[in-house]
Amino acid sequence: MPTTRPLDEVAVRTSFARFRVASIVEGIALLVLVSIMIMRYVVFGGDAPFTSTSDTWTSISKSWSPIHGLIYMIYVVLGFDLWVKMRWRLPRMALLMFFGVIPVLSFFGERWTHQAVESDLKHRPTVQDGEAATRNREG
Amino acid sequence: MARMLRVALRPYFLGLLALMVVATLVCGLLATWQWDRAHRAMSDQAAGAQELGDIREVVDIGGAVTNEIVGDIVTATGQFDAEEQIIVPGRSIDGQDAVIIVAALHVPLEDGTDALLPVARGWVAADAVTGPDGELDPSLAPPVPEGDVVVSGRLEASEAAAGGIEDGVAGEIATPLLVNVWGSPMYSGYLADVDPIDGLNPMPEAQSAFSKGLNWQNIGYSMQWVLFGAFFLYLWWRSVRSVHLDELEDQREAMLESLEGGPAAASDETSSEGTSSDEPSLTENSSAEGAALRGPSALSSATLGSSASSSSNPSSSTPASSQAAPASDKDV
Repeated sequence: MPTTRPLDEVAVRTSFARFRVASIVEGIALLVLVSIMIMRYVVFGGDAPFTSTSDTWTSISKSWSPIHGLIYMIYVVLGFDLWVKMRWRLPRMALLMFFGVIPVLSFFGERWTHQAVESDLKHRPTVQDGEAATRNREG
Repeated sequence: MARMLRVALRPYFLGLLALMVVATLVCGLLATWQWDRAHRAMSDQAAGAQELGDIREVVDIGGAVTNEIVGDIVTATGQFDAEEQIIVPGRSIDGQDAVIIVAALHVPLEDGTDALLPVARGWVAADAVTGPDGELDPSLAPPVPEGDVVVSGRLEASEAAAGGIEDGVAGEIATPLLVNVWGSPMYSGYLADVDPIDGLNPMPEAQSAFSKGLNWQNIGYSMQWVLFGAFFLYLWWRSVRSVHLDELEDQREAMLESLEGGPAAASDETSSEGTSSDEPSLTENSSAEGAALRGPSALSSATLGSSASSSSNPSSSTPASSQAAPASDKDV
C-alpha cells in the first residue's frame, strides 16, 4: 500500500505501548486460564471428558473464564486501535487478534508487531517527518 | 463525500461489502438465537402448563426433565407400595411448617418391568406427622391408596440432594437419594399431585432459579453478537475511508509538486503514476476521479508552460511530443 499520507508517529507509538501491555496481560491471563483448565479437567478430571471431580477448580474456572474474556476483549480493541493507526491491510487485523488466542503466542506476536511498527515508521512518511521538513525549510 | 462514494462503489469494495454484510447477517442470526434462548424459559412459562399425557410418552427412564417440560401436567398409572413412602419436612408453605409426603409409584412399562416414579402426594402440617415424643414419624402420614391408581400432576425436576434419607425422613425430593432406598430404574424427576386425596394439601409450584424468567447471560451474548455484526460494517466503512484519504493525499501531493516544480515536475509526476502523457484520456487503471483531479494539474502545467516560453521546452505540454520523446523528461 504505497501512499504518501503520513502516519502519526506519536499516536502510533502511544497505541503500540497500550497494545504491548495488553499483549502481555492477555498472554499471562491465557496461561492462567489454561492452567485452571488443566487442573479442572485433567488433574481432577472425571471419567467422561469435560467433567471434573473438584468443585474448587470448577468454581475457580467459572470465575476466571469471564475475567479472561474481558481481558481478551480489551486486547482486541487495543489491537484494532493500533491497526487503524497503522492503516494496515485487513488480514493483519485478523492476525493481531489471532495472536491472543494461542497460549504464549501473544508474547512473540507483540515482538513481531513491534518490528512491523518500527519498520513502517522508518519507511513510510510520518506527520513528524513533514513537520521536521517544514522546520528545516523555514529555518 | 461524492468522491468517497465512488471509492465505495469500486468492485473491490463492493465485494468486501458483500462479505461484511454476510458476516453481519450471521451475527444477526446468532444474536436472534441468543435472544430466543434468553426468553425461552419465560415464553414457555407464559404458555402455561400443558397437558402432555402419559409420562411414558413424555420422558424416558433416567431422561432429563428439561426446562421445556417442567411444570407441565402428566398422568401416571400404576401402584403404590405401602413400604415406599417418606416425608420431607422443613418446608414453609402458606406460612405453615409443612411436611411433604412422597411415595413411589410403580409404573408398568411395555416390556413387563416396572419403573419407579416419585410422587409428591401433597403436604400436611408438621403437627400432623409429629408423634407424642415430639419426633417426626413417617408412619403417621396418610397411607398410600391400594390397587391401580391414576395420578395426575406437574412434572418437576429432582431437587438437589444435600442430606440423606434416615428412617423415612429426607431433606429433599431428590431422585439420587430415593434411588438408593427404593431401587431402580427410576424416573429422574418427580410428579407433584395436583388433586390429592383427603387430608393432603396440593403441592405449590416448585421454584428454581433455572425457570425464573429472563436469562441475562443470554441477553448479554445477544448484545455481543449485535456489536460484532456492527463492527464488520464499521470495518468496511473504515477501509473505504482510509483508501479515500490515501488518494486525496496522493493527489494533493501531486498537485503541490506540479505547482512548485513547474511543467517538468508535473510531467514527471504523471509519468511516475503510470500514465505516459498529460492527455485527459488516461490509461485504464486510473479512475474517473483521478482524471478529475489530474485535470487541473495538467491544466496548470499547460498554462505555466505556455507563459514561460513553451517553445524552449516542447516536450512537456503537447501530448504528441511527450509521446514521441519520453526519455527527455524522465531523467529527473
